[in-house]
Amino acid sequence: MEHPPLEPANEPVAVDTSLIEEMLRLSPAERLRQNDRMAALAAKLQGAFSAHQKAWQNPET
Amino acid sequence: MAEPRDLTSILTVLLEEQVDMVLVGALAAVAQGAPITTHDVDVVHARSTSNVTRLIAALGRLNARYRGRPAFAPLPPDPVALAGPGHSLFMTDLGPLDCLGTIEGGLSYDALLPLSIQIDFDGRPLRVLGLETIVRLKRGSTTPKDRLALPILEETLRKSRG
Repeated sequence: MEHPPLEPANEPVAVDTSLIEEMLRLSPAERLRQNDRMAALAAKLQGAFSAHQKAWQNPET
Repeated sequence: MAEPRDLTSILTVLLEEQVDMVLVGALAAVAQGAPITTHDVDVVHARSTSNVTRLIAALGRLNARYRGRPAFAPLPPDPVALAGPGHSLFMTDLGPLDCLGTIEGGLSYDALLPLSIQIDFDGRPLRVLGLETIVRLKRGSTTPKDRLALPILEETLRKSRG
Protein backbone atom coordinates (compact mmCIF):
# COMPACT_ATOMS: atom_id res chain seq x y z
CA MET A 1 0.00 0.00 0.00
CA GLU A 2 1.21 3.48 -0.81
CA HIS A 3 1.93 5.64 2.21
CA PRO A 4 0.47 9.15 2.35
CA PRO A 5 2.81 12.12 2.46
CA LEU A 6 3.09 13.06 6.13
CA GLU A 7 4.74 16.00 7.76
CA PRO A 8 6.58 15.18 11.00
CA ALA A 9 4.76 16.27 14.11
CA ASN A 10 7.38 18.48 15.67
CA GLU A 11 9.11 19.97 12.69
CA PRO A 12 6.78 22.55 11.14
CA VAL A 13 7.32 23.09 7.45
CA ALA A 14 9.06 26.41 6.83
CA VAL A 15 7.07 27.01 3.66
CA ASP A 16 4.06 24.85 2.88
CA THR A 17 4.82 24.23 -0.77
CA SER A 18 1.94 21.77 -1.12
CA LEU A 19 -0.50 24.55 -0.25
CA ILE A 20 1.09 26.87 -2.79
CA GLU A 21 0.91 24.17 -5.45
CA GLU A 22 -2.76 23.49 -4.71
CA MET A 23 -3.66 27.17 -4.83
CA LEU A 24 -1.81 27.61 -8.12
CA ARG A 25 -3.67 24.62 -9.49
CA LEU A 26 -6.99 26.44 -9.00
CA SER A 27 -8.41 28.63 -11.71
CA PRO A 28 -8.62 32.37 -10.94
CA ALA A 29 -12.37 32.01 -10.36
CA GLU A 30 -11.83 29.09 -7.98
CA ARG A 31 -9.17 31.05 -6.11
CA LEU A 32 -11.60 33.92 -5.65
CA ARG A 33 -14.25 31.51 -4.36
CA GLN A 34 -11.71 30.05 -1.94
CA ASN A 35 -10.83 33.54 -0.69
CA ASP A 36 -14.55 34.26 -0.23
CA ARG A 37 -14.99 31.03 1.71
CA MET A 38 -12.15 31.85 4.10
CA ALA A 39 -13.37 35.41 4.60
CA ALA A 40 -16.89 34.18 5.35
CA LEU A 41 -15.58 31.51 7.69
CA ALA A 42 -13.40 34.04 9.54
CA ALA A 43 -16.37 36.41 9.91
CA LYS A 44 -18.59 33.65 11.20
CA LEU A 45 -15.98 32.50 13.73
CA GLN A 46 -15.44 36.07 14.91
CA GLY A 47 -19.19 36.47 15.38
CA ALA A 48 -19.41 33.23 17.32
CA PHE A 49 -16.47 34.17 19.51
CA SER A 50 -17.87 37.62 20.15
CA ALA A 51 -21.20 36.11 21.20
CA HIS A 52 -19.35 33.78 23.55
CA GLN A 53 -17.50 36.69 25.15
CA LYS A 54 -20.70 38.72 25.59
CA ALA A 55 -22.46 35.77 27.18
CA TRP A 56 -19.51 35.22 29.51
CA GLN A 57 -19.37 38.90 30.52
CA ASN A 58 -23.15 39.25 30.88
CA PRO A 59 -24.47 35.87 31.99
CA GLU A 60 -27.92 37.33 32.72
CA THR A 61 -28.58 38.39 29.11
CA MET B 1 -24.79 16.77 2.92
CA ALA B 2 -23.70 20.38 3.02
CA GLU B 3 -24.16 22.29 -0.18
CA PRO B 4 -20.92 23.13 -1.97
CA ARG B 5 -21.84 26.80 -1.72
CA ASP B 6 -22.04 26.66 2.06
CA LEU B 7 -19.12 28.90 2.87
CA THR B 8 -18.41 27.41 6.25
CA SER B 9 -18.89 23.79 5.51
CA ILE B 10 -15.42 22.42 6.27
CA LEU B 11 -16.01 23.05 9.97
CA THR B 12 -19.72 22.33 9.65
CA VAL B 13 -19.09 18.90 8.13
CA LEU B 14 -16.52 18.06 10.81
CA LEU B 15 -18.98 19.09 13.52
CA GLU B 16 -21.89 17.28 11.88
CA GLU B 17 -19.84 14.10 11.96
CA GLN B 18 -19.13 14.80 15.64
CA VAL B 19 -15.37 14.84 15.21
CA ASP B 20 -13.59 15.62 18.47
CA MET B 21 -11.12 18.37 17.57
CA VAL B 22 -9.67 21.71 18.56
CA LEU B 23 -9.40 24.50 15.99
CA VAL B 24 -5.81 25.79 16.09
CA GLY B 25 -3.48 27.90 13.99
CA ALA B 26 -4.13 31.19 12.28
CA LEU B 27 -7.87 30.69 11.93
CA ALA B 28 -8.21 30.17 15.68
CA ALA B 29 -6.36 33.45 16.18
CA VAL B 30 -8.55 35.19 13.59
CA ALA B 31 -11.64 33.98 15.49
CA GLN B 32 -10.30 35.85 18.52
CA GLY B 33 -9.79 39.06 16.59
CA ALA B 34 -6.25 38.81 15.22
CA PRO B 35 -6.04 40.82 11.97
CA ILE B 36 -4.16 38.22 9.96
CA THR B 37 -5.15 36.14 6.95
CA THR B 38 -4.95 32.44 6.31
CA HIS B 39 -5.89 30.04 3.56
CA ASP B 40 -6.34 26.81 5.44
CA VAL B 41 -8.20 25.28 8.35
CA ASP B 42 -6.01 23.62 11.02
CA VAL B 43 -7.45 21.20 13.55
CA VAL B 44 -5.90 18.89 16.13
CA HIS B 45 -8.13 15.83 16.28
CA ALA B 46 -8.53 13.14 18.92
CA ARG B 47 -6.66 10.06 17.68
CA SER B 48 -8.93 7.40 19.16
CA THR B 49 -10.16 4.77 16.71
CA SER B 50 -13.76 5.93 16.99
CA ASN B 51 -12.87 9.56 16.37
CA VAL B 52 -10.61 8.75 13.42
CA THR B 53 -13.54 6.80 11.96
CA ARG B 54 -15.76 9.88 12.29
CA LEU B 55 -12.99 12.06 10.85
CA ILE B 56 -12.61 9.74 7.85
CA ALA B 57 -16.37 10.02 7.25
CA ALA B 58 -16.15 13.83 7.30
CA LEU B 59 -13.12 13.83 5.01
CA GLY B 60 -15.00 11.59 2.61
CA ARG B 61 -17.86 14.08 2.43
CA LEU B 62 -15.34 16.84 1.73
CA ASN B 63 -13.60 14.76 -0.97
CA ALA B 64 -10.31 15.22 0.88
CA ARG B 65 -7.09 14.10 -0.77
CA TYR B 66 -3.48 14.54 0.33
CA ARG B 67 -1.79 17.68 -0.90
CA GLY B 68 1.46 17.38 -2.79
CA ARG B 69 0.10 14.66 -5.04
CA PRO B 70 -0.43 14.88 -8.79
CA ALA B 71 -4.06 15.55 -9.70
CA PHE B 72 -4.27 12.31 -11.69
CA ALA B 73 -3.21 10.18 -8.71
CA PRO B 74 -5.10 11.42 -5.64
CA LEU B 75 -4.56 9.55 -2.40
CA PRO B 76 -7.50 9.29 0.01
CA PRO B 77 -7.17 9.84 3.77
CA ASP B 78 -5.33 7.05 5.58
CA PRO B 79 -6.77 6.08 8.99
CA VAL B 80 -3.40 4.77 10.17
CA ALA B 81 -1.72 8.09 9.42
CA LEU B 82 -4.56 10.00 11.08
CA ALA B 83 -4.15 7.89 14.23
CA GLY B 84 -0.50 8.98 14.49
CA PRO B 85 1.10 12.18 15.78
CA GLY B 86 2.05 13.59 12.35
CA HIS B 87 0.36 16.16 10.15
CA SER B 88 -1.98 15.12 7.34
CA LEU B 89 -2.35 17.98 4.88
CA PHE B 90 -5.44 17.76 2.68
CA MET B 91 -7.05 19.62 -0.16
CA THR B 92 -10.83 19.36 -0.09
CA ASP B 93 -13.59 20.54 -2.39
CA LEU B 94 -14.02 23.45 0.03
CA GLY B 95 -10.37 24.37 0.52
CA PRO B 96 -7.26 23.22 2.35
CA LEU B 97 -7.61 21.36 5.65
CA ASP B 98 -4.74 20.28 7.92
CA CYS B 99 -5.49 17.45 10.35
CA LEU B 100 -2.76 17.51 12.98
CA GLY B 101 -2.14 14.60 15.35
CA THR B 102 -0.02 16.85 17.57
CA ILE B 103 1.40 20.36 17.41
CA GLU B 104 4.39 22.15 18.92
CA GLY B 105 6.01 20.21 21.72
CA GLY B 106 3.94 17.13 20.97
CA LEU B 107 0.70 18.62 22.26
CA SER B 108 -2.24 16.35 21.49
CA TYR B 109 -5.99 16.91 21.48
CA ASP B 110 -6.19 15.80 25.12
CA ALA B 111 -3.49 18.28 26.13
CA LEU B 112 -5.06 21.15 24.19
CA LEU B 113 -8.63 20.58 25.34
CA PRO B 114 -8.23 22.40 28.70
CA LEU B 115 -6.47 25.25 26.86
CA SER B 116 -9.38 25.73 24.46
CA ILE B 117 -12.56 27.78 24.56
CA GLN B 118 -15.92 26.35 23.54
CA ILE B 119 -17.99 28.55 21.26
CA ASP B 120 -21.32 27.96 19.58
CA PHE B 121 -20.85 27.46 15.86
CA ASP B 122 -24.17 27.08 14.06
CA GLY B 123 -25.69 25.48 17.12
CA ARG B 124 -22.83 23.05 17.61
CA PRO B 125 -20.01 23.27 20.17
CA LEU B 126 -16.65 24.12 18.63
CA ARG B 127 -13.42 24.11 20.65
CA VAL B 128 -10.99 26.90 19.71
CA LEU B 129 -7.44 27.07 21.09
CA GLY B 130 -7.11 30.14 23.30
CA LEU B 131 -5.12 33.08 21.96
CA GLU B 132 -2.76 33.04 24.93
CA THR B 133 -1.73 29.48 24.13
CA ILE B 134 -1.42 30.27 20.42
CA VAL B 135 0.96 33.13 21.25
CA ARG B 136 2.95 30.94 23.62
CA LEU B 137 3.35 28.25 20.98
CA LYS B 138 4.26 30.74 18.24
CA ARG B 139 6.94 32.26 20.47
CA GLY B 140 8.71 28.91 20.34
CA SER B 141 8.37 28.57 16.59
CA THR B 142 11.23 29.21 14.20
CA THR B 143 9.23 29.29 10.95
CA PRO B 144 9.28 32.62 9.08
CA LYS B 145 5.47 32.63 8.78
CA ASP B 146 5.02 32.28 12.53
CA ARG B 147 7.70 34.86 13.32
CA LEU B 148 5.96 37.36 11.05
CA ALA B 149 2.57 36.82 12.66
CA LEU B 150 3.83 36.83 16.25
CA PRO B 151 3.94 40.62 16.87
CA ILE B 152 0.36 40.95 15.61
CA LEU B 153 -0.82 38.06 17.77
CA GLU B 154 0.95 39.45 20.84
CA GLU B 155 -0.60 42.88 20.35
CA THR B 156 -4.04 41.36 19.80
CA LEU B 157 -3.65 39.42 23.03
CA ARG B 158 -2.48 42.50 24.93
CA LYS B 159 -5.40 44.63 23.72
CA SER B 160 -7.97 41.88 24.24
CA ARG B 161 -6.98 41.76 27.89
CA GLY B 162 -7.90 45.44 28.12
